[in-house]
Amino acid sequence: MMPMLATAHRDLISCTGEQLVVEQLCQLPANLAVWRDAVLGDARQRGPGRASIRSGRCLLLDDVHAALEFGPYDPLITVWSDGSYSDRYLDHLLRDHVVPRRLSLRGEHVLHATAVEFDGLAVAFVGVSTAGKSTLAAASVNAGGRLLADDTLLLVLRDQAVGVRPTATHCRLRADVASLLPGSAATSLIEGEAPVPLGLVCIVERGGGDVELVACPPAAGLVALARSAFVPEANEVDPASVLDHFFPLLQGIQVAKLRYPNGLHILPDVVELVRRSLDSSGRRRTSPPMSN
Amino acid sequence: MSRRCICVADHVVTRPVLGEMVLLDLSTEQYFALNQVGTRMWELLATGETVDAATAALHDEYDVDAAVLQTDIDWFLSRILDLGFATASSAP
Repeated sequence: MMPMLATAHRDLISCTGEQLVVEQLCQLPANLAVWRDAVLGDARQRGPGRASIRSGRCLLLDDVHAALEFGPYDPLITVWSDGSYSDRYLDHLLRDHVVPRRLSLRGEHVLHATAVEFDGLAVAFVGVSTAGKSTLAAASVNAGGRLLADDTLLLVLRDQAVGVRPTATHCRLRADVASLLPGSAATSLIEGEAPVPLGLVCIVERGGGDVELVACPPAAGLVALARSAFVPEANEVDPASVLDHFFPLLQGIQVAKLRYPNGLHILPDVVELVRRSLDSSGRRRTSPPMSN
Repeated sequence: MSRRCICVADHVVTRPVLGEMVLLDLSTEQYFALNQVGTRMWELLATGETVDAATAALHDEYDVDAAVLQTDIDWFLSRILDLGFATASSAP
């Protein structure tokens, strides 16, 4: 006889407005344990954040202490942990790892990125994990922008125009940085809001002595998108398919390399340069309004 | 005339992108972007042209000094060989 495994259910409103139901288990079911062991034994899988896809469903492992199993549309998220993690950390796993993977499993275009809106146009920031995407987003909000996405950037393609669907309610910053950037304070999502037309994608790189924004040629732009793509599990996804997945977006996106020196004091200048670039793109006048 | 040419590695796939090209190394899952000139160099070399024939074709197509072109194509060749995108061989 199967033991009762469920110890708790709770509802979670995801950053996409969906209501997820979390079932926390005190014991990993046998089928998931076998799957987990296979992932842990896969030499291609390294470090935390290992994941695997079977029959359209995903098993996400955080080290060996937690396992989360979910499908692309099923609101039920099965969570097992050995108790070494706090609820807050599990919430992070759900919002920042499960939700983008669910979207990606559906075939959505999802990037590891932040995005901010200025006057009806969105700018997205992509880059490596320490590039400063969240800090730049918070600085943009400080300068009058509106936060759209932090970590999970959901892009939508409508009539050859690319839009950003708002998903973020706050910037993910260290407390010491957040205290210097009031723009990181929480905001609210508006249910059913139309995507915001995307005017610019910036590849963020820190270094050098100047603030520079240099347009990328198409192939470099596609590479930037592919490198930032949130795929369910890179080791189990044909990387060429990632290129093909994002290629249709390329004609509706301007990609540029944004380079600036280290230091919070420089961020207002960086944001101003980005705003000027958005203003001069002219897309605000030419982009059709987007609908859901 | 040199009969050097290249043989593209099996683990490399390409995608044309609006007149340019992305190379994908399946062994490392790394993406690389080629600009228009790099794309043309790759097209010529990957289809079996010798290095000399590719150089001559590029000299005809682009308004470029021969010495500059030779430097550029030597650099391009060394990069794609170093990265393992192709191996050097001799044309039959």
